[in-house]
Amino acid sequence: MEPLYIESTLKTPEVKFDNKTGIFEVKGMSCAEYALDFYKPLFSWLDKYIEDPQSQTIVNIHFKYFNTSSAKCILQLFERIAQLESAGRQLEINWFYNKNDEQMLADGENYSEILGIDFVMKEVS
Amino acid sequence: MESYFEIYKNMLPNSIKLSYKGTVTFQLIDSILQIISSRLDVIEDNINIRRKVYCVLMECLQNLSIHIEEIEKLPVKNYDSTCALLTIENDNNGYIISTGNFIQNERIQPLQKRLEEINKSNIDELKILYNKILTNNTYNAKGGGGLGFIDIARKTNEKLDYNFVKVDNLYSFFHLEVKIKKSN
Repeated sequence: MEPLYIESTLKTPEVKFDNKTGIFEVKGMSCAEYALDFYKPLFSWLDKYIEDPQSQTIVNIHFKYFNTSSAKCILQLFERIAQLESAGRQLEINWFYNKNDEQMLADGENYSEILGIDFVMKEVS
Repeated sequence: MESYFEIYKNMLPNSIKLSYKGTVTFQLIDSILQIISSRLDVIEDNINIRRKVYCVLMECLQNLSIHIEEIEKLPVKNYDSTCALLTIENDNNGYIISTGNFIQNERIQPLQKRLEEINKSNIDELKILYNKILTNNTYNAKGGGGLGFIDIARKTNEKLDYNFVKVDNLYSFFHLEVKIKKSN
């Protein structure tokens, strides 16, 4: 299994999923009209990773903005990641948000609440 | 001929006004967002309002483009059904985004039901509604599964103004007006 690297575009975030280190990053904008097309390969990759994960996985998420088309896909992403915790692995999810972006903070809290998993909220200036 | 300079003078110093009639492609959405974003950077000090206008405009435009794609297969008589109307302007209270597009009559009832449900909901109920759709595991072609209007209502904290004007037995024109008030 190879790490998954996807460069950012104006409408899609940068993705760095490293199965060797267990560190995952998603960063940037997520506002494609058909977000599912972008997220499907991420889902497939995660499904494989979950079969043989590291003992600890750290997930760093930093969206500048995401549209409603991405909102469900992001939840699906987290639901896959959450399986690691259910399987007894260590999981740390860091939700980064830009300074004063109350909406993004609230969105992170909402995902955390839905999943029943604590997120570490990190404001970026 | 009215003096164009008079019109200019009557506008607020920090005003924004954009009208567009035509088809809405993904490329066009990018261009409009870029234009509005650049102008907002100049005229709007409040970063949260800037973000709100940008986000709401994007949802409105993406909604339009998806609906136009759906209707393209069945053209409306006497009109170019793929042409939508879009207006963005501001006044002292805030920003107003209006969109107009053709819709099949049979789709009015479910849309109206959804819009009414949104409008009668307070901010806490909107969050419940949003999460209900977020977690229902169904996608539409767009991927969002119908979160757009709820998201707009939550971000603006305003009722969605809308109406349907019947064009013929098959189609109507759907007008949506979204206000982003500076006080909210």
